[in-house]
Amino acid sequence: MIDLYLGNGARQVNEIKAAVARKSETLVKEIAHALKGSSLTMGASLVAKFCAELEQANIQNSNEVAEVARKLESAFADTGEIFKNERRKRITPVAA
Amino acid sequence: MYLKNGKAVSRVLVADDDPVIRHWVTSILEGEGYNVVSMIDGRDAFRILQGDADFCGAVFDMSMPYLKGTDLIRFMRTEKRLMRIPVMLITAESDIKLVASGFAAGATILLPKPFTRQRLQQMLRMMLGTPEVSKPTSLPTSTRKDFTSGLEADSAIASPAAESREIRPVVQGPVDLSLLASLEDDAETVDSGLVMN
Repeated sequence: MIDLYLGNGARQVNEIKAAVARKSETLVKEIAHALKGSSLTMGASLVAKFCAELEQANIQNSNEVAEVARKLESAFADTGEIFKNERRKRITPVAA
Repeated sequence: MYLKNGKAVSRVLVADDDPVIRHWVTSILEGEGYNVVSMIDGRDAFRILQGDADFCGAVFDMSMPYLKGTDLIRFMRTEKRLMRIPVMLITAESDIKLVASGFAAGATILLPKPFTRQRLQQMLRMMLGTPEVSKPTSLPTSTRKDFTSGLEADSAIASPAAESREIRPVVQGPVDLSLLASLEDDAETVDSGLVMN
């Protein structure tokens, strides 16, 4: 689940950045909505928060939207580290 | 129904473009003993439904490419061979009008994201009537955030008798690890021969 989320989420973050650069409002909102859903399910609260902000954002306000996209990318990276650390903590050897 | 090791197995149609949710829902349903037909978007699910009605239930994402979950339900409710199949609609929408549109389309249960493994299992059992079915008179609470309202709600909503919604203050923090723990309740063997608790 963690690998699926991080792999798929990394692709979605990149797609959001590209869509923001192209000012494609529909695409930004669609991808942000999709990433918000899986982030909520995984407990990635901050990522979901920035996705929700992008869903509501006015794409014409390019500086603000780009800033949220940057925050999203950073939050996703931090969340990835937290999940990987958590996974390391949860892994235990198989009992012989 | 189809036969697996000589036993009849009920089939459930799952459609979600999000691989995380699709994988999770599929694994839970298979754990409950169902045969899952998993589709990556609404269009593929529609194609299946056009020629196959042998499902005891369906789980759709509300928002999918090409055809939304609500579009699929509307189609199903107009087809005699499909109209009795119960459908759970999963959604990350917080707009009450959009949520209501799920019921208007004919959803049996509407499950807002995020949800725990336990909540999903309960809702599936309620909808599909598997053994250990219990009416959701006192469903355990789950912790989730509603960012638009700034409140938390405990909310799997069944139609027609909607559950009451408990509203609680938001818990702050970048990651809610209790949800992650819920996803991995079942011990999961990884390739290295280790077990994830």
